[in-house]
Amino acid sequence: MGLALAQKGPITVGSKIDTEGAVLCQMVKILLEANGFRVNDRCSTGTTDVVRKALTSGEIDLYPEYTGTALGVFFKNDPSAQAVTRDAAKGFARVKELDAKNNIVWLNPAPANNTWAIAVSRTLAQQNNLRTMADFARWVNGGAQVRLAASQEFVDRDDALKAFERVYGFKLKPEQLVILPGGNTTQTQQAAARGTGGVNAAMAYGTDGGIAALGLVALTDPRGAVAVYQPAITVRKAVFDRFPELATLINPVFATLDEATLSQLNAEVAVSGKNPAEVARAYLRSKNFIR
Amino acid sequence: MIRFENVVKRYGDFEALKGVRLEVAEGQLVTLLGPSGCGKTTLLRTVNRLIELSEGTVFIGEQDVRQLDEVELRRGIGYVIQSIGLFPHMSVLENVMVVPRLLGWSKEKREARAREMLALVGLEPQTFAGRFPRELSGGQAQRVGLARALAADPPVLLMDEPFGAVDPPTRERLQDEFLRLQSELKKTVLFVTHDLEEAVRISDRICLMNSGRVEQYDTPEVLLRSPKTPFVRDFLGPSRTLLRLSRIPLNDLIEPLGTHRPAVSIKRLATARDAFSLLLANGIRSLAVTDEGGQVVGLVRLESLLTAASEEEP
Amino acid sequence: MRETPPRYLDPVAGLAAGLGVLALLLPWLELKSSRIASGEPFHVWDWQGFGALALLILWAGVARAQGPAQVGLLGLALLAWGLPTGQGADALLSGQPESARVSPAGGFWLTLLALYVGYFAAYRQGGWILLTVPLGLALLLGLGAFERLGPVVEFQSWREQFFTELWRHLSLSGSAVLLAVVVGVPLGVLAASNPRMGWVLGVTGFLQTIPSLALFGLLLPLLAAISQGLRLEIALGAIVLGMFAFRLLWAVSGWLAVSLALSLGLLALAMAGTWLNSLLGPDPLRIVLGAPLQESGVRGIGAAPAVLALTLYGLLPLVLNTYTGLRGVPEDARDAGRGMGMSPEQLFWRVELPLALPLILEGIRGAASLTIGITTVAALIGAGGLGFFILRGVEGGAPDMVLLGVVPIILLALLVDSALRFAGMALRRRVGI
Repeated sequence: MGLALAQKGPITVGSKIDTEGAVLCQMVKILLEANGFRVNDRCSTGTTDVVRKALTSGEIDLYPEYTGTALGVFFKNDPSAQAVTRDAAKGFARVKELDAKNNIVWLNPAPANNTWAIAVSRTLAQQNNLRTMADFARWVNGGAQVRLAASQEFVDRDDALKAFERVYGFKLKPEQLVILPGGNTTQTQQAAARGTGGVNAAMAYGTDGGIAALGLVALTDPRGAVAVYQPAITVRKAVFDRFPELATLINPVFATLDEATLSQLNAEVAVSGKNPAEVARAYLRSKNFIR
Repeated sequence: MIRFENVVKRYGDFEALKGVRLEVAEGQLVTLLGPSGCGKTTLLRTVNRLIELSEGTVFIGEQDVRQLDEVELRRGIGYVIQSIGLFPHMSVLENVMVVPRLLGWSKEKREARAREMLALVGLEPQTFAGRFPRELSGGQAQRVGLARALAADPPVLLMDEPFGAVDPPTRERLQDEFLRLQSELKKTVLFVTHDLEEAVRISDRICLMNSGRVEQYDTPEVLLRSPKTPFVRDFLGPSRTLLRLSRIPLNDLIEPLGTHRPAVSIKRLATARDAFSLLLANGIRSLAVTDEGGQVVGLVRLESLLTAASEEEP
Repeated sequence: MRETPPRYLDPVAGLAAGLGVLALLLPWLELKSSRIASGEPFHVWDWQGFGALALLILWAGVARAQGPAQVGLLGLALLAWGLPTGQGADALLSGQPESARVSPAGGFWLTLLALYVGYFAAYRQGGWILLTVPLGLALLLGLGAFERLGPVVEFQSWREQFFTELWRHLSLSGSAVLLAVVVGVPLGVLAASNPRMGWVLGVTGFLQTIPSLALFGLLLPLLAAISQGLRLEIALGAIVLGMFAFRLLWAVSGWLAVSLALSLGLLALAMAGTWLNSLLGPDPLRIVLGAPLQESGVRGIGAAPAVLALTLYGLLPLVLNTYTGLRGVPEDARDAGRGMGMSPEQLFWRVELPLALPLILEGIRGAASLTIGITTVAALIGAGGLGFFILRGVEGGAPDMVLLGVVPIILLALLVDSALRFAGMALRRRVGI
């Protein structure tokens, strides 16, 4: 209190290895540094379970997690969690409540819904007039030669492909599916873009940066069939109690991140190859969050 | 100086040494001679406790070797082995300096002494000090081994077939040089060999061993003239008479020159055996003897040689 | 009448030339619209015929030439490999959007292999020729020949992180090798001097057979449990007590003593590894008394399991080489040493260890290159290192980024291997083996 020269912290920030995680992590880091915090950069810490363990064990102090992932993976045995995965507001409230017991605090989520989607090539979409998942269902049921590249998780989970099929009324046969182990959407999208193995549709996430660059287009989900995946910063309670201003600093920034914005930022990193820190810094400047 | 009292060494049921009693006087070179497996090396190694006795005692001076700390004991005894065992990672000088260094001598003292020792064994210090063991010939390496053993001026020297690994001409040269050294230094030496000629050539006394026991312990002359047991006789073999002659200097047998001078001559410093060989080779009955300058000083007759060789008392 | 020397074709040089010519037929560069898009292949003659022709002539020369001529031609071939690449990248990228990338393709890599084989053939002429390699490469770098290639562009974007991860990679590997030496050499000495300790070799050999990912996986939950439950002072205390108790237990029961030694030993290794890595690396060292181990950096993920696993992998080469080195000491040197009055300690330090040192150094060399390679996997468990770029590259579908991780790891391993090999040769000459 009142020690003008002393920096606050240090706070260790982490994230998953993907592009969006890196961007969000850098955004938080640069924001905190601009506000007098000393930050340790452990962005791109590892896979989901590695990062989560890092948080719970104290190796890192905060990282961006998805509401849908938390509900679907960390609390997968809790029926009250499963019931609200498709409701953004209720889902967030539930996950915040549940994780409080683990001494993890959830800051406000961004509006972007980085959820499951199916993407097809732009030419294919134009040829068959595909814009929404309803169009996709129509096209599949009409006997189209479709091959979808997806992860095992996407195919197995109740609130992913099965949800699409249920809500939009279509069914993909096993020979119409190409399962890529590990479920990396860049790989599925590259497959669809190149037509590898006859693949012409790919599992995608709502904010993937590479979709446009690979000549694909994501089909929209107007009926809200699948779970909501909004990114939010998860913080260790001990750290949050020490620095409650984390909320006042980060929440406004996250509020500006909708799908279009996040996709654009992701594209700058994934497609244009820019450094996530530079992309984050430019964004924060453009929105006057930092000077 | 070295005294063995009822020394027994057992390996399980096998007795390598069966109650050896032996005394080596100070300043003497005693050879332990015998066939393989007779226990000569085992006996040697009981002196510096590389082998521990089962029964009996070994004394150096009046000191029971078991009373001393074995490491300290060994630093006071020179040890030379057939394979020499020079340390490949040390220079010749460093090898020679090993025991003085163990004894804590100052650097200057160590180096000076090491150079002195190299010169003593006939290796020019300037040339050889900086060389490494892999650059040495067999004979040179053996000399370094000797220099190393003598560096700390130990009163006792243990040598286990030290000249065995070199070719015969080099071996003879090394033996001669060692004899010369020994006459200067007068160390108490226990020397192991299986080579009868070598033993006869260099020893003050020979201890002939068989199966862990001492068969005979005498000077070479006595041993060769009067073998005590059938084993000794067999071991010495039929050429022991010639060996005896090799111990007899020609000087004792020179007679004044008579009427005619023999055609073939021989140097005075040769042995009776050399004279005998020359007589046989030329088929003659007498030789002229010359001194260092080449002057004839007398002659030696075959008859005198035969008398000397005979085992009957004169 | 002067005798013409016989026609001479060194098979290795011939192989290099063959590979070099074959490489010209393969695509040399790939143009992609973005770092994740698929690429359009281009051959080396597509932008400039001269480069292909020059290489063709040079390879023919390399196959036939000998001595300094061959070395000179190889140096020119190195330049002929790099300069057209740079020109090609410039040519292909002109008029393309900023996100477009040019990546090296099969012909580029095969030529590099051909150059490696060629230098191997020419090396027999004399070691000095190796100087032309760094000179040639320095010239190429100075002229900016590779500047516009995909991996280098990635590097420009990721410059700061690259050096941080490089530092982490070095500190992880370095800590592990250091600890492996500190633990492995004494173990090797023990195994060599005491015939009953032969099982040590078996255990370390067994460790090596465990796949790296599996070993990491085994250690993570174990360390997590320990680090959360155990306090720092208790851990230190247990280790110290254990050292004393070991003597007593050894008399009572060999098995019990060894189990105690192993478990406490692993704990000590984990702690030592974590703190050594923090000292050597970019991440801060934190030691917090009165709190569970995890506050002090020893956790179930990150550097602790990484360095521990890497150390265990590095043990075998060191234990085995120390053992073999000591066993290889000539028996007559030992006999002479003992007979002269060296105590067992003096014999060990002045004779046995110096003679075993070249082989031990070989062991360090093996452990070092091995460790640098396996450290790649450490990025998977949050420990950082150059594997980070490989993982991000694979995850993001960007092969250029994967190369940014792979090439430095290979170069590092080669560098360390060569340096230690050189040191080993110098030592052997000094020691006279």
